[in-house]
Amino acid sequence: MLNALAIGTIALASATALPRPTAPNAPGPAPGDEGRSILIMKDGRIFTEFGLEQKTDHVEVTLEAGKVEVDNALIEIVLKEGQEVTFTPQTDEEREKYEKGFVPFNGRWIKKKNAERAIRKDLEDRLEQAEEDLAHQEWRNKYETETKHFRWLHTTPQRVTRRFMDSSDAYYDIFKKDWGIKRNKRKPKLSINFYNDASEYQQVAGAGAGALAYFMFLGDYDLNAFYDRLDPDFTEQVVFHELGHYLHKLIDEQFKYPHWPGESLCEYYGGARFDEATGKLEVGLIHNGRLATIKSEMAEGEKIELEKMITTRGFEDYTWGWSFVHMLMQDKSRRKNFRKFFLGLASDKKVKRERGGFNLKTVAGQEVLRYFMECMKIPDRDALRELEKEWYEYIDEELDFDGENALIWEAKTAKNLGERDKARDLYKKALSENFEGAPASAHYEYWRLMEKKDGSDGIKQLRAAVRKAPLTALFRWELGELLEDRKKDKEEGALNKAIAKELDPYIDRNALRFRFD
Amino acid sequence: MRTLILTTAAALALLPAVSAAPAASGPIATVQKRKKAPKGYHQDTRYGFKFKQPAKFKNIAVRVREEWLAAKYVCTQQFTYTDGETGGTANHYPEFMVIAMPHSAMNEGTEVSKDEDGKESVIKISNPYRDYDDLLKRTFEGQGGFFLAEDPVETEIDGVPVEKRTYRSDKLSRAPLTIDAWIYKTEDVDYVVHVIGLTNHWESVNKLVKPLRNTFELIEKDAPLRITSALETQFRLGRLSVDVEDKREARSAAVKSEKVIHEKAINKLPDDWNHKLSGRVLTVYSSDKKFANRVQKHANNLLDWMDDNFGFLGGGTYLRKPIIRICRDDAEYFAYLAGINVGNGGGYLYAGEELVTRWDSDGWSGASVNRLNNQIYDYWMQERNFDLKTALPQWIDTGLQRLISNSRHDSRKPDWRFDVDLIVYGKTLERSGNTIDLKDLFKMTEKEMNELQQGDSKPHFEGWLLVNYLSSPEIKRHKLAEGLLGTYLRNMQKVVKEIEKEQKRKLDAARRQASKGDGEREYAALRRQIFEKMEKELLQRTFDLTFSDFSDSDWKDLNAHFRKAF
Repeated sequence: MLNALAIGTIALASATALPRPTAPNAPGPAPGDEGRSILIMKDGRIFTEFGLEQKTDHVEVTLEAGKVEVDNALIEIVLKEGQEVTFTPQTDEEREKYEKGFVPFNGRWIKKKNAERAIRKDLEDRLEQAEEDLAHQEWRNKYETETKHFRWLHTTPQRVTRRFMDSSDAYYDIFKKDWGIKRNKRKPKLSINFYNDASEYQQVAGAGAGALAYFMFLGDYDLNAFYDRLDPDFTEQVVFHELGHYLHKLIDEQFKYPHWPGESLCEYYGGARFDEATGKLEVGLIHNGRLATIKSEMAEGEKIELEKMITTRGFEDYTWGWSFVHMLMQDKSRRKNFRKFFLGLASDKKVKRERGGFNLKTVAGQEVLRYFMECMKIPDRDALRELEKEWYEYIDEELDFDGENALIWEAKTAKNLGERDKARDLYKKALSENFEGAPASAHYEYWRLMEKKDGSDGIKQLRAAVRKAPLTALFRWELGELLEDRKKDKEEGALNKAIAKELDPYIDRNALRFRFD
Repeated sequence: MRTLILTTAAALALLPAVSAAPAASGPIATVQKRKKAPKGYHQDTRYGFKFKQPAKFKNIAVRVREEWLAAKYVCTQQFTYTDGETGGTANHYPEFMVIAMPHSAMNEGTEVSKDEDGKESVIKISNPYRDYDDLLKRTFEGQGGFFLAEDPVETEIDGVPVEKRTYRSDKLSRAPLTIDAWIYKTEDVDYVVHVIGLTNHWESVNKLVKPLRNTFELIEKDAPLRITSALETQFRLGRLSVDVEDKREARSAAVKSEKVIHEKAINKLPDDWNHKLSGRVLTVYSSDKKFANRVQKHANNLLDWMDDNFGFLGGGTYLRKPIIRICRDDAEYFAYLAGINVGNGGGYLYAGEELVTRWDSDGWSGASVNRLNNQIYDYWMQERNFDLKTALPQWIDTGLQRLISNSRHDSRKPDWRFDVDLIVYGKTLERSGNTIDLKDLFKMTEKEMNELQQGDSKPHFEGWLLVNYLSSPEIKRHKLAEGLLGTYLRNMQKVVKEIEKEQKRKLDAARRQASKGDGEREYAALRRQIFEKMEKELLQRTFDLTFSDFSDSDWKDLNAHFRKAF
């Protein structure tokens, strides 16, 4: 029905070089004329039930329970039925142009009439897309989008999925160039099942709560992952990691790579970053989460022996293994030999392969080591130990955390490893250094780790989480639970709980499950 | 705010008072009378529905604690799925269930109560499902992913609004499945009749359940349905929450709960199930009588054997007669376990309200009897001495479990089947020089064992082998080994009692100290330290009591005999 709306104007236009039509003049619906509205968040969510009013730097969202301020930075677009577009000139030059009937639009001054037509068209397109996205939110009505290398089956909105589609295609191209893989054209493109949230993923893909994604390496293959709207960068890393397993398959479909180097190479590419603007993928970056684990183990005097890592299967293949592969891939001469080793594991006649699970060929630990030493021209154990020493130094001297939220990655990693005390300290440090720049989920995670959750710092963290993600029911519910116990904040507590309930009618049960999951 | 979850409170105080223990043998007489169903029909006047039983479907017993699950049937015809890509096959027996979801219970969320000081709260999750979708999501867990495959269809049958929902499961499931649910919506209860079958045989499955679909109707209930929870908590046959110091009270509570749970189990039996109380065990069975009798005799003998050999651990507590449910085959067994309670999706039933086994194609030597033995061991230990069971070093607890798992007790004298795999592994360790000195093994903490296990030594395996050895007739040939396991356990029992009080004192002191400092965090660290210290203390004191007169040459001698024994 959305495309049948009588469209007036939008409050936020597309990005322009010129001043955009400013929001303050965008009037709200006339009394008694509460037209339909739509709020599209950058994280992909679409809200159609609430009253919306554009303010200077935020949109005021009116729920039955009360009003919520949503920062403009979080909003993709807000559309209202029957609303006029206006523009308030701020300078003389603007005033002059405006009086001549021009308004700024997409970097140019154009006739207001033309702008309105263009905006209306834009609106119609977006409304149509929003309606389409809403119609595809159930798995039975999922989107099927074919890209250059993959077939995406998804319930996520097209707009937010595009980033993952483009980055996955870019990853395929880079991997193809690096390793010379080729897809059997008689086989279908890999299906990537991409779910709107963790809950849908667990239900439809049948994954346990601990698995963030999985690649099914039997039959026609498929990859299952979900969109974590509060942490899309992490989602991208997870997708890259699992895609790595598929790409390894394309080297030899009857071969299953040993845990090392298989998982480590997946992590190497997992740490890549995609630039949406240029469409380029940068690989070989620092994987903050993995580095955090290594550094913390090193600080405790723990070092993984290279020989042990190569010959046995363990969690260290994701962490220490990543850093070792990083060192080999960053060094031109070693990279060549490592490439020979990796490809040769599956194809070199000199490698002793055996049958593993699901009747797939694989290579046992000692043979991996032997072949690695042969390819890397490591004559004996002493030379291997020398390489190990060099690797430790590489970690120590060459690998350093990257980006303003590296500490948060460290904290998140520590929490995943069960080191709650350490995670709490890291979150505390990260948030004290960059409170405003931290994502909402960091405040919430830190709060969950606090001993005194109802203290002033706990409430401060939850308030920040709510401010940064004002339409997230879980954060509001937890804040409400805390505040309703405090006399002076009782009202605020009740309001937050009521808003949370309106956003998610089952939040009381869902929050409880979340706490104990 | 500290939060506790109360999910399975024993709530024995709520049980009705009864005056006597059940009869020593034969069927129990106090079975409730049910209204007779028309021939060929399944009729339930408590929940208020009836339907014509489809041919080729068998009525399956419903677990005692199930409150929403009103009927369950499994097909006797097996269907097969073959994966075109991998060539793998999976067999499946279609099944259907009738689930009654009372609105009053569905609408109830969580109940929170607070202490007087307002610090501690108890959250009672009385109803885990908010609707059928939610129920399916949480009970289908582990069997594969699923999704609503078609738009739900709203219709009306005999004036009752019905919503038809079709789900498909095709990811991580052993075979693609279809779940077809018809939800009959009445004023106070949603009745779900869902059928599960292989998608590639869905037409055939649909034909088989046609009588169910055509004849299912809602009838007058005996009384309004009063169900507050999907899971009835008060009949849990686990550890009794009574003060063991007061033996009379403990016995009385045990006898009362035994009677209630026995009656409840019998009242829920389908028509073609039987029950028999003999000796110390109530069997409920759909298997053939001969097999059921054999299981019952075996279980009685195993319980006697546990008493004879480990009776000193029990402290004179009354051991409630366990219910052993014997299903006729695998299909019925797995269908029985897959109820609508959270966490029982076709897996191993840990000593809960009953012990469950089935006749399997490997017969008497099969794994199903091994699993039953494990359950009897766990049950006996939990009932007799819960504190000791939780304090035992893991290698002794799991070692005893493994040992008993392999035994058969057709007569009072057990027929031991030693763990050949373990013995072979022990020999391999010996050849590679990676064995552990028994003196060290007895003093090793769980953490130390786990660390060693990462390398070439395998302390847990060695521990299990030692339990095999100390329980074998071989020990009669060695004076130091004979009776050693019993002595060790007796001593540990003493030490556990001493340490319990000490541990409580230390924990209280830690809490006081922490409350002045860094609060919960400090307390957690202190508690961890206390537990680690107490574990060492427990092992050391038990060691000192047991081996005080062992010389170095005794240890050498015992080690040598142990290594040669197998």
